[in-house]
Amino acid sequence: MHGMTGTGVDVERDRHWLRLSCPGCRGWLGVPGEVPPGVAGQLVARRIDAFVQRHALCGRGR
Amino acid sequence: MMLRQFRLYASGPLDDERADLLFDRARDLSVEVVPAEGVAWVAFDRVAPTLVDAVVSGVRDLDTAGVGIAGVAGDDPLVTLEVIATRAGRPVEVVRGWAAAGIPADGAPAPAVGGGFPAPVRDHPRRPVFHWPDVAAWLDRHRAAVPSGADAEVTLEAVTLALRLRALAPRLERMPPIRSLLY
Repeated sequence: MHGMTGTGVDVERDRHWLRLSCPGCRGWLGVPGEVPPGVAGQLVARRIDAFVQRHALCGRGR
Repeated sequence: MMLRQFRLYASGPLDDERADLLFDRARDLSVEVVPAEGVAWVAFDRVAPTLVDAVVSGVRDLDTAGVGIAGVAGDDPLVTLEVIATRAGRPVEVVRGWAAAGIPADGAPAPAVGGGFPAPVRDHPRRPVFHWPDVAAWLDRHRAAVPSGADAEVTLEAVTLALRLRALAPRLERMPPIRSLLY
């Protein structure tokens, strides 16, 4: 999750799940807030990476 | 038991309240909403004996959260090196090497054009993401074939048809004759 800094998405942590929002198009991603390290963590990281890539052109960097 | 990855598209609003309910019920899913395109889906990373078991249990999750289902789809085509490694049955270090060197899995020199490992969707120094259909085709060409997705497509289509029938059922005069056609 710390790798999100500078990716152009906003992260909210006030739920028991994390909400990542694209400030450009208002799209968002919800992922489990706490996952054990290892495979489960990699699977969540993958969902975040895909979301960030999809919104790379409509986020703050545009 | 194997990891089963698929998506269920929502037919109606998928808001924070419904997401709360989904995450209360399961921690092996993610929710993605694209307001500009009017689409939303729930992606699953579910361990189950078969794909159909996983998809049906996912349908139950959305039913419980009050999320209507528009359709069933395969997994997100954007994948990380870790996902590629799992699907190829190789250590992630090996896959990272393929991606870095752009050489075929069998070690042969890459042809001048089109022979290297597919480029990431967009350059990223730490977390590159790749387009799975391109990677699967590359793996297939270089002796590291992954299982065909043909069976998965049949399963996803069957569940989609069952959901369409379920949606029509309240408007049918009688359901049992329709159900009898299945056997």
